[in-house]
Amino acid sequence: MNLTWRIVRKDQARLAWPLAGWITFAVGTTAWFGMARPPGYASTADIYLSWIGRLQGFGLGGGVLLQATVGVLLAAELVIEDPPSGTTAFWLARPISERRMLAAKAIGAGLLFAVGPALVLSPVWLAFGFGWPETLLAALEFVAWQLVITGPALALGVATGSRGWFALAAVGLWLLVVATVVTGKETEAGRSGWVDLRDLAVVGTLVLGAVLTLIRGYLGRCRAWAILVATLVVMIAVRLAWRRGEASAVAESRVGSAALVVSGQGRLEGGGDRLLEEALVRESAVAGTARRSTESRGRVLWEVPLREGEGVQAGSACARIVHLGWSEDRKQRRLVLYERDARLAFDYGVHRNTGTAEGRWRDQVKVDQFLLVNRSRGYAKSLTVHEVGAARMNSVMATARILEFAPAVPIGAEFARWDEGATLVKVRWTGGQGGAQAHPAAGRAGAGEGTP
Amino acid sequence: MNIIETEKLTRRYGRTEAVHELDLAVPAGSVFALLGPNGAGKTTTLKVLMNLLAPTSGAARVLGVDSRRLGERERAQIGYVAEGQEMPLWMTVRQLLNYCRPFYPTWDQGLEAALLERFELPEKRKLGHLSRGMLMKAALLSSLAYRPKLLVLDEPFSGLDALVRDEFIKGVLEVSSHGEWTVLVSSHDIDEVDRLADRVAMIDAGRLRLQETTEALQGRFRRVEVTGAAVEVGAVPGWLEVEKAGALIRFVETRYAGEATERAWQERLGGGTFAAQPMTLREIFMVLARASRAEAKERSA
Repeated sequence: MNLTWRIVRKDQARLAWPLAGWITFAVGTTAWFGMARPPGYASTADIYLSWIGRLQGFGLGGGVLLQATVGVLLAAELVIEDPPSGTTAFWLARPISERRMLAAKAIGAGLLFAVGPALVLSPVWLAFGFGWPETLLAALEFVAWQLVITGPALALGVATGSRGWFALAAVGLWLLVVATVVTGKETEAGRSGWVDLRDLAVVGTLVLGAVLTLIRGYLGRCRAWAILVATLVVMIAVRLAWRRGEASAVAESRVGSAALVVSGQGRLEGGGDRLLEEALVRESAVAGTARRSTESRGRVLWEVPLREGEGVQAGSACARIVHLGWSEDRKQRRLVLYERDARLAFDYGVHRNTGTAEGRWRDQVKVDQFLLVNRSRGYAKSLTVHEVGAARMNSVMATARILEFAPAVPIGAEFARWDEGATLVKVRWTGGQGGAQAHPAAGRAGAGEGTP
Repeated sequence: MNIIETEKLTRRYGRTEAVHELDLAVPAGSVFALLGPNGAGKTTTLKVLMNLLAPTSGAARVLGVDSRRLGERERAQIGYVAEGQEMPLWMTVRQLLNYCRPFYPTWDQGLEAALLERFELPEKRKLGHLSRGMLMKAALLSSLAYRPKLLVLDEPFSGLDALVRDEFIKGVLEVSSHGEWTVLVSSHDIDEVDRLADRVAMIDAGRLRLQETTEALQGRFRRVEVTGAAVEVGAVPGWLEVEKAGALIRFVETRYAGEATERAWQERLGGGTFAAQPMTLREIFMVLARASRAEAKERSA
């Protein structure tokens, strides 16, 4: 066996039990997260708000904080086991070159904290209906996430060289991150799930600095503090110096969503036969007085009969109507929809907060729309969406929404049977060029081929 | 041929000079003891030789290679056991040996088994559960089993009880007698080194005080007692710790060369009765250490 792999195997044996526990925890929490279902008995939004809140807490606490904290400690242990600096480390007196040790630590970190766990998580993702591309993307996202988590931990391990100093420095760094997050202003892009390019640049600097620290530390057999400090300085400078085009981004986002809802509803009510076959072209205000014409295409993600308890699984998309009732004033029909889907951090796209308005507009990737379609009665409505909340863990996303609409028939004899044969349809509008294909259900909806 | 050579080797920690222009030569096949009191610079010297520290100035060659360029090939021929050296305490003795073995092309499994038996090391016990003595023996075993050309021991006897020390020394002696091994041992424990070393160097405050064979060193040092001297004695070159108690004069001769030296004593003291006793390495070390300290005090005054 190659000597480098010998060191990797040694590290694997050293961390076997805690690593197994950590991976089991990651897999177990992801599986539990994906299988959790909201209560189906309540008609008030508070119940679902509370439920999704618990799920968010679980996703943040278990999926992010605990998983990341344990990952950080294990990654640090990987380095502190064979620290590059000092004069007493076991490996320094053995025939192990600096390059070999660096390679062993890099391979070990990659296998033990990224590739290995991603492989173990893959069956869970596949069980939730992820296709192979989605599973691959989820695995890549997990690997990238681990790079962000374990990279700095490895670098801090190099710079400190001991468990005590590492703990102290990690707490300090953590407080710095928390302070940055708390004092930072959340943007519209951040709230809508987009990845902010400036934050991406800051994180990228961190990862690059961590990699350089690791390389310099092992090859130079030093703590490489200077690189770590320089990395922090650059990160802070990027954050302070990079000014957002925030106002424009907010305006674009709102204008874009509103235009889609109105246009979609209007077309479907007017017959709808060309709804999903033709691109939707709309002209919108972007920044200031400028107007921009953009093109979107819609596709049906799923269609489900409008009944309480009905659900559908289409690929990774799993949707269930957990409650069907009325609003308090009994004028609006209200349904509570639970969805679980593959949702990557980059799913919405990268929000470029500098550059031209045109460039920013192209970043607006997706808008989802829910339609109530009754082919036998010949009507369709766009539903009002109240987002209860969403929680995410390892690329599995759970969402609870309350959808409301006014019945299409007047209160009277027909009222009781107004929704017979109606279906709930989810349409995703994708901006920009390409990437959208019509779902088979789209043709049926447009042509009025009867109830599903 | 020298396995280790240093030339004006200097190492500073900030303003403190731990090693000052050290010129050492360790011949191949010798058991070389580096002696000195605590803080003399022994450990720093060995760490520079092992490329664990970079020299501030000067140079060192180990196995014919600049110490700063010691690579995997050279390290595979060097065994290094040091007090305070970290060990993978989570491993069992067996796991340690299995881990180390592939790194050394010359690993001798027969010798490994023999040493394992000799040191009575429990194979299945974790290193973290071993006593300090056992741990040092495990470190020694993992540094002997590949028959290194050079074995470097830095304060290996610290904290070991007499029995373990004895086993340790016997182990080193036994193995070193098997081949052309060179052993460099640093210690302030002179009695143990006395049994091991055939060459000795003494450093104090980072400066080399002497470097020669043990035989030559012990040959030129004598503790002398003189009774009935006719003249007063002052400072004599080569004499240390000169004391006068009534009619008795005591001193340490550092240049003893048999009858010629004894004739020189007669001439200087105008007769008397001389009793010259050979000295142990420990006694020599103590005399030199005290002299060095007094010299330093004088310099600072």
